[in-house]
Amino acid sequence: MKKKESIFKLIKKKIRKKILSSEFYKTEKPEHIVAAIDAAKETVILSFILIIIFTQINLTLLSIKMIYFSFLISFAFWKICQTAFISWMRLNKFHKIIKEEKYEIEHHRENEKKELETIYKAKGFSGKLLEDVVDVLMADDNRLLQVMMEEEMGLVLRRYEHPLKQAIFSALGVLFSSMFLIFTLNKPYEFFFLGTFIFVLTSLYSKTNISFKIIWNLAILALISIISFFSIKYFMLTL
Amino acid sequence: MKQISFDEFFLSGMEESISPFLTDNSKKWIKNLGLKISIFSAILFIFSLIFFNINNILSYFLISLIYFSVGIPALLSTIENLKKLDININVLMTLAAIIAILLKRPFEGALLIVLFGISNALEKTLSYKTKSAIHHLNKISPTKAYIIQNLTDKILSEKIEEETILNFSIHEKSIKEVSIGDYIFIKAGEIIPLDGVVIGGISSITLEHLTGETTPIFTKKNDLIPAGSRNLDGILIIKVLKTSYDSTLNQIIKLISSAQKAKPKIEKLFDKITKKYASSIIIFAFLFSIIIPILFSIPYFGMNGSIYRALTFLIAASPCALIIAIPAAYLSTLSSCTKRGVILKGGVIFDTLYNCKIIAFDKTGTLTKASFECTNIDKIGKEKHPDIKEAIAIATTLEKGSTHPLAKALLNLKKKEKNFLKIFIKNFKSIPGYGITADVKIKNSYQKVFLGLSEYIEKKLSNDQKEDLKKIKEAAYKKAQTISVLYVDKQLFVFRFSDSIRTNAKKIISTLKKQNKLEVIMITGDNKNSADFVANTLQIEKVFSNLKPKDKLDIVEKLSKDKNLAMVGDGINDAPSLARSNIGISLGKIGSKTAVDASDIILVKDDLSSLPWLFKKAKKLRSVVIQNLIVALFIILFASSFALFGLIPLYLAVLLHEGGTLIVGLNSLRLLKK
Repeated sequence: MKKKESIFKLIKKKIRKKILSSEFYKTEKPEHIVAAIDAAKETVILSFILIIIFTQINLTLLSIKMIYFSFLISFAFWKICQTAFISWMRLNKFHKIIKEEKYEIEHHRENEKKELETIYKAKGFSGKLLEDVVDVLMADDNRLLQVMMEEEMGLVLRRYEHPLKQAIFSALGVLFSSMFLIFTLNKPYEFFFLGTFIFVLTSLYSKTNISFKIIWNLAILALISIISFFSIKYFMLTL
Repeated sequence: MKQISFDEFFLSGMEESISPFLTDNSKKWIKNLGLKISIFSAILFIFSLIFFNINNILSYFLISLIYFSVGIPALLSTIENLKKLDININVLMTLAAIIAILLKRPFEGALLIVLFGISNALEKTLSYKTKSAIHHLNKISPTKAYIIQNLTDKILSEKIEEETILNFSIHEKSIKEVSIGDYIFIKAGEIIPLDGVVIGGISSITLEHLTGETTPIFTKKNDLIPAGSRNLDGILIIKVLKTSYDSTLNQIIKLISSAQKAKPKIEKLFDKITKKYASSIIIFAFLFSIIIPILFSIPYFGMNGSIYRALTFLIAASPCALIIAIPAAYLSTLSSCTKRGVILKGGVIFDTLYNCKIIAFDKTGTLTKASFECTNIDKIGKEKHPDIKEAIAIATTLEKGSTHPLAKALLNLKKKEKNFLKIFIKNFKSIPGYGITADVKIKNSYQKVFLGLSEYIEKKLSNDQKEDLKKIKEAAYKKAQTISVLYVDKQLFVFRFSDSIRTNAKKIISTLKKQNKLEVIMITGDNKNSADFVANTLQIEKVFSNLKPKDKLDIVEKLSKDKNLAMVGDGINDAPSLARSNIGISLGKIGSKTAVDASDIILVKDDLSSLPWLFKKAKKLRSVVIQNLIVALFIILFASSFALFGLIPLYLAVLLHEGGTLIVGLNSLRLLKK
C-alpha cells in the first residue's frame, strides 16, 4: 500500500515537473542572453508595425523620430519590468517548491526514501546496489534535497540568472535593435532590410535547424508586417 | 554533481541573494540589492534637482523612477503593515510621500522615501549577518555517521585495530537515523557526530568547539565523549548514547537560537515608540482636519483650510529628523569604529554599551593567545648526552609535519634554535592516543625513543625518575601547564607548555577598571587551576571557571539582567554567551566564524586595546544623540504647531523639517573623528 502511495506521489510530482518545465524556455543559453535576444526581436517587430503606420499617415520626419524615440524608451522600461516580474514570479515558485521538498524530507523520510528507490529503480539500479545508493543519498539531507530537486522536479540548481540581471539585459536587447533602426527611419528600404537582418540574427539561438528557423521567422515577420499594412489601409479607407 | 549546502539559505528566511537556484555570478551581482537601489535613487534625486531648472520634464521623469524603485516596495510594505493593523514609521513615511504628491510636492516626497530607503537597507544589511551564526555551527556539525554493522560485544572485548574495523561493513547514515545503542566509527581528524561512550580505540580529543579548551584530552575505553569534540589521532568506536536531537552540539545550536530571539529588547522599545508616534501623528492630522473648522471659523478646503493645515502638520511632524539624523550619529560612530578595526552590527549596540557596568572575558583565545608555547624543558637523568639541545632536535624531528597543538609548539622551538642539529630517524611509528616512537641515531647507534604522554613510559622509569617526574607534574599543574615527555636512552626530558597571555592584556584590564569604571570578570569553561593562574596574572578578581555551556549561559543571563554585561569571547563555545549577553564582543582574526556571527561587535584586528576607546565612544555618542534629539524635537514641535495655526506654508514646513535634519546630521558628523 505504502509503495503504491510513493509511486502515486512520484507520478504527481512528475506531472508537476512537466508543467514547470513547459513554462520556460528549454534552452542551453544563459537566461539573460535569451532575455536580450527576445527583447531585440520584439523591438524589430514593433518597430515594423510602427513604421508601417507612420508611412500611412502624414507626419514629419522629426515627429516620427520623436514618437519612435518615446516608444523605444517606454518599451525598454516595459521590457525591464515585464522580464523582472516574470523571473521573480518564477524564482518565488522555485523557492516554494524547495521549501515544500525540505519539509517532506524532514517530516516524511520514509516516503522520500521510497520515492528515491523508485527513481533509481527506473535508472536501472536493483537489489543491494539500489539499497546502498538510497542509503548513501539519504545520509546527507543537503545532498538528498539536491537530488530530489534535480531528479524529481527537474530543476537545475545554480543555473538561473537573477531577475534584475535578466531585466537589464532585455533593455540592452531593445537598445541593440533600436540603435541601428533609429538611424534609418528616413530610409524605408534600409530600415526594413536592417530590421529583417536583426530579426534573422536573433532567431539563430533556437535549437532547430538553420533553414527551418530562418524561413519561419521571416515568414512570421512578413505576416505581421502585412497584417499591420492592410489593417491600417482598411481602417483609413473605412473611416 | 557539485554539492550545494541549503542551510544558510533556509536560515536566512530564503534570502533571494543566496538562492540555490541562482548562478554564483548572479549572487555576487545582487548582494545588498536594497542598499544599491537606494543609493542609485539618491543619485537620481541629485540629478533631478540639477536638471530641474534646465529641463524639468527630465527632472520629473527621474523623480518618477525614484517613486517606482523605492516607493513601490515601500508602498507594498505599507499595505502589508496595514493588513496586520501595524501602523509604524513605514506607514507614516509612505503616507507622507503620497500626500506630498497630492499636494504637488513630489520632490519632498522623493527625498523622504530615498532617505528612508537608505536607512532601511543599511539596517537590513547589518542585521542579516547575525542570522548566519547558526549556519556556521551547522557547518562544523556532522550530518552523517559511519555505522558499524555486525559488531558484537565479544569482538569489542578484544583489542581493536583500524584494520580489524575495516573488515566490518561500515555504512554511511544520516545522524537523524542513528539510534541509541548503535556503534559508530570515527576516523582521526573527524568531529564526533553524536554523544557516546568509547568502546574501542585510543585517541586524543579536543573540546574547542564546546568549551574552548584546546588542550588535547586522552580518551580511552569507557570514556564519555560529547558530540562536537574533535578526534585528533587514532580511531575511535563509540556506542551512541543520545540521538542527534539531544546531542550536545544540537543543544548549543538551540541555545544560540533562543539567545538571538531573546536579545533585541532595545529594538523592540524603539519600534514601540515609533509605532505609537506614527499612529498618533496620523490620528492627530485626521482629527485636526475635522475639528479645526468646527472650533474655529476656518474652512475645510483651500490654502488656509483645515485639510491643508493638517497635511502640512503631517509633513512637519514626520519624524524625518529622528529617522535620519539619529542613525546619522550612529553611522558616523560606526564609521569611525570601522576605521579603527571595530565592526558593530547595528547602531543600537552603542546604547547597550553605554549602559554596561560589567565586562566579562573568556580565557582561551581572548586573554590568552590560544596557542601553546614551550616554556620549560626539564631533564631527568644524569647522563651528559643527549643534552637539551639534542632533545629539542629529536622532538622537533619526530613532530615534523604534525598538526597536533603541542607538536606545533615544539616545532616553534626549532625556529628559535640556531645551529639546529640534524637527526636521523627510522622505524617511525605512531601510537594512537599516546604519542610516537622511532629509532633515532645517537652516538653512532640507533636508540629507541618515545615522545608523548608520560603514562606510556612510566613503567620504564626508575623510582628516582618517577619521583622527579611527579614533582615536575605538580609544578606544571600549579602553573596551568601541559606536559609532554621525550624518553631517550634512559633519559627523560619534560617539555612544559603554556597558553601565553596577550602582551597588553594587563594594561587593558586596568584601563577598563579605572577609566571606564567597569567591573572586570572572567567566565570560562577551562579548568579552575588554569583560569585562576591567568586571572591572578591579570589582576581579575572574580573568576567563574570549569563551566559547562549551560552554566556559562546561566551566569551570563543573570549578569546581563542585573548589571548589563559585555562579554568578550572568541570560540564557538562562546557563541551562546555572546548572543545572550547585552553586548557580545568577538575577536575577528582568531575568533570562530560562529562567535563572530553571534556577537554584536567584532574586533577585526583582535586588538583588545580598542575596548576602552569603544566604551568612551559610546558615551560621546550618547551626548550627541541627546543634542540631536533636542534639536529634532524642537523643530518638529515648532514646525508642526506653526503648521496647525496656518502660519507656515507646506514648503516652509518641509524646509524647516529638512533644515533640522541637516543641522542634526552635521552635528553627527563630529563623531567621525577616530
